Amino acid sequence: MQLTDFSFLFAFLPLSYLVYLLLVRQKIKTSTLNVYLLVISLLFYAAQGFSSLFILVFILLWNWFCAGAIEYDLTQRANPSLADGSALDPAENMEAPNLGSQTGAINPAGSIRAAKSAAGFHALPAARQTLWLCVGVNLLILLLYKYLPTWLAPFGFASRWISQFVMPIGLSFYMFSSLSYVFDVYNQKAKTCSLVNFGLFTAFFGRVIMGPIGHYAQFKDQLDDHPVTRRAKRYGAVLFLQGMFYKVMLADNLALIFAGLETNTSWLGTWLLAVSYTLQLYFDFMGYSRMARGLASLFGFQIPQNFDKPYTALSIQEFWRRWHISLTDWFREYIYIPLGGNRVSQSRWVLNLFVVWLLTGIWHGPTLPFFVWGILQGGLILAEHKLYGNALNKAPAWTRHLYVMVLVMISWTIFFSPTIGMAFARIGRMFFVGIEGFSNSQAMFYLVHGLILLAAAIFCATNLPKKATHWITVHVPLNKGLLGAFGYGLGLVICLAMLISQTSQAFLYTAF
Amino acid sequence: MKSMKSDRTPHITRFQKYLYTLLMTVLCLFMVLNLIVPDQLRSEVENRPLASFPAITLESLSSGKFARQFNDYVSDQFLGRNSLFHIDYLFRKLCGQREIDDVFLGKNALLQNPAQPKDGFPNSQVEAINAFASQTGLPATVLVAPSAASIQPGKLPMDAPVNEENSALDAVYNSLTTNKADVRQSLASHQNEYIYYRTDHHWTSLGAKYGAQALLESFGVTMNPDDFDSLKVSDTFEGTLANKTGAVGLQDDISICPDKYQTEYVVTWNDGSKTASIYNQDALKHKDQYQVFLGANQGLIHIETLSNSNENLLLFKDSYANSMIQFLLPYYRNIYIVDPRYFYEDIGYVMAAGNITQLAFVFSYNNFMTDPSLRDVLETQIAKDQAKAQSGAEISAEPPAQEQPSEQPASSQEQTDEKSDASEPSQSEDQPAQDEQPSEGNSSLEDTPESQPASDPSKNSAKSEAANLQSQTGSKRS
Repeated sequence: MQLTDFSFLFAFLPLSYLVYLLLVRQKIKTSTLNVYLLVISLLFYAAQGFSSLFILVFILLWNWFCAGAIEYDLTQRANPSLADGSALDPAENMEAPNLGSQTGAINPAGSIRAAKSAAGFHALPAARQTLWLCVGVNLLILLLYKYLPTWLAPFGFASRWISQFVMPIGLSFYMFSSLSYVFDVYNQKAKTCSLVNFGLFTAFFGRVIMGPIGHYAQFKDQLDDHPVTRRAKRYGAVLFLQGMFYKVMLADNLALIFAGLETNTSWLGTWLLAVSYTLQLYFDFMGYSRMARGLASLFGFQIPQNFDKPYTALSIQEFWRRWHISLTDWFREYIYIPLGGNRVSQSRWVLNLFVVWLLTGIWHGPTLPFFVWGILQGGLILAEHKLYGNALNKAPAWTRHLYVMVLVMISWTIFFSPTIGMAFARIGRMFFVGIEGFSNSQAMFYLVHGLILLAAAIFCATNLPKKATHWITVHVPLNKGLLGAFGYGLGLVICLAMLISQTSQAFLYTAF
Repeated sequence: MKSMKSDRTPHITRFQKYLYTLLMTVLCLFMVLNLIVPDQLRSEVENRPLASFPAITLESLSSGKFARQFNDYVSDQFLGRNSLFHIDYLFRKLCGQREIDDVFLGKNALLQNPAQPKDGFPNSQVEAINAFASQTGLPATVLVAPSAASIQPGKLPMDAPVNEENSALDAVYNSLTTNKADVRQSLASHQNEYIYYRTDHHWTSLGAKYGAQALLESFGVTMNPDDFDSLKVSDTFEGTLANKTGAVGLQDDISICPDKYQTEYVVTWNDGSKTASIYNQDALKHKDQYQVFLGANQGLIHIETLSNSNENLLLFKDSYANSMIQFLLPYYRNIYIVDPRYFYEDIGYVMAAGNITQLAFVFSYNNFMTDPSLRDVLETQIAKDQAKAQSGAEISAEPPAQEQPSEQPASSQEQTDEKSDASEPSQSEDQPAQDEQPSEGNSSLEDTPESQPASDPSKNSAKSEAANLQSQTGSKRS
């Protein structure tokens, strides 16, 4: 089920929300509301099929269990008097928060220790052993479902065996959210929580499919208190509608230009292809993220923004502070900083940088173009630091903006090309190498007839909509509330018309 | 409700004050309305049955099939679905889009982008036709009707990236060993006339007339275009392309062209019923008014005329030929019309029983280049004949009715099985959905001639043979 499916919009969402409001009106306590939200989130995800649901539930249980064990181990370490193995029973250890009461007769530390023993982790401290084991199992699942099917495709028998592992939708997103919880517990930035709260944090139906990736330490307080205020409801509706407009009106139509030009080999056609994908990817992903934030707000949660006008950035570093913020934050917080960040030697810092960007590339997909794309981002950031950062800072803003957009479009060209050969061929054509002419009728057709769409998309990718809204607020002497309702209402009708007239194109980022 | 103290929500602007009410009203209102309003079984606009509430089974729930089917159900039964198509069209057009779902929004016309031939498929189609024609030894003609986009490029939007079809058609005509009725030149010379519908993928009666002229010419018959009247029967036709795009403000005229000599004939339809007209007046009251020509697509139709001709034509065709039949009536004694997409019977029997003297193949470019039904029907017959020849069985000159009864069920079954494996017809604009019934009780637009063939005693034997033929071949779309 997608957020733009009619079954979601006109059955799942209104029904589940009306029941939720009814429960809120009955002054049901937050923990019970969370149970309800977790149940409907699992139902939402079950629409993908039970096998996908099984993986999600397994990851939830495994990571929650491991986090409990990690916290227990950390408590043991902080209190050496409890180091004796006989004291590891949580029922006897009142210092182990939450875990004892949540697991009942289960002794997670004991079970995890047995598993670690089998894995030969004895040399590491207990909590770190558990962490490695936990991450290892997660990575194994990711490897099995996301990477091996592609990597083993050339090998006959292995390929047939692995093809049965169909990747559950949103696996990379919810796995990273749940690992955030494990890492935060390990880093003692947060304490463990109930399985319900953890499940809701990870699998909330708004973001389980395509993020934004959750950062547990920042979000945990909301799990205990997420009032559905009038302002939150209004804000949620605004975000949800805006996200839908971006996704349906812009991204889905830009996808048509992209599809029409995929085989174009003219200079103009290749650039138009890159431009259309650059805008499509942004509005597709940003639109979804905004819808997810809107849904969260309707239920009283506030999820930080995932995009902050990235195409207005004046450097690649700034671009990555504005693009897919939740993923960048995740890698910085849980990979880059633990590796030492920039408080290490120069050579180690360069290594850290490339490790993080290689992992970012691999996170997006298993093929060579994603690897190259990730390395390229690391290389560009390194170059800005070490080669031309100062010169760039002194350059006029339009030059810096041009620099960013050209490099971003080249990067996306690598990103969307199925093979690295095709990517380089396209990049070559962007610079007149291997073109079959400056332009052709196909490129002109999509340029001329897509001009309004492209202009609207570029307008929306800048800060101009905010300025335009401000201008209208000041200068138009009409009832702003009614004007807004009319405008958004019209937009909603057009979105529904476009959705029903086509098979809604899947959100691009579900593939990652 | 919790206090406002813990509200972390950013402020909204004055424009956004009523949006929560708007969103929830729309979502809840349509949810309730969709529950209350009875479900529709079928969409005339989309020419397909609409999804009904899916069965809830453990298998469908566990595989995710239920959720997909439920989504289809909600969107199919959504109140105001057809109106939303029009809104979508208007918005896209307003935004400058000139292509929707492979249809170009041209100058006062909608034009379908020709299909890309499947790799190697046209060759196998041509080989099957060559082999079949050669095996029968009868004069045969192939006519592939070009698409409007290639004949009327002036109507296309500027720089429209149309799939090129001339080279593929050249290759087809060059490979054929039969006669060719290449109508491209003829249609191009009349491109400013009303030869293609503006809202439909078919050619008009005028376009079909030029097609018929070329077809008859290939058999050495000169058709006089002035021998046919043109009677407008509708000016409100909104065809398949209008339905596909949701276009508004475009309508077509439909004209029928009976011959001035009022050639009498009787039509035996696929279900065995008979009428004295090829025109289906009831179709004009429905969405797909093109069905005025020969009704819905059917596997086999037999037209027996009182013309002076001794020729019996076996015509393999798709819906493009439906509007062409009216121009062939005066020139044939019998016309057997086979639509291979819906034909599951024994073509050999039709050949023998109908005493066929000429073969014609009339298809649209898209179907000829992509649809395997014709090839499969022909290849099955070729294989059957070759098997007979190899087994040394003497091909009997006796009426096949004597040998058919024992053979018919097996061969029919065999062919049906093969088609279901290899050539399930794909749903396209000119194909009715599988559940569609052939039109019955086709009524004539014109007065039935007093001495209509159905009541002519001299025709009784031919009629009974035709009826026998129909009953042998039966209706494949029960």
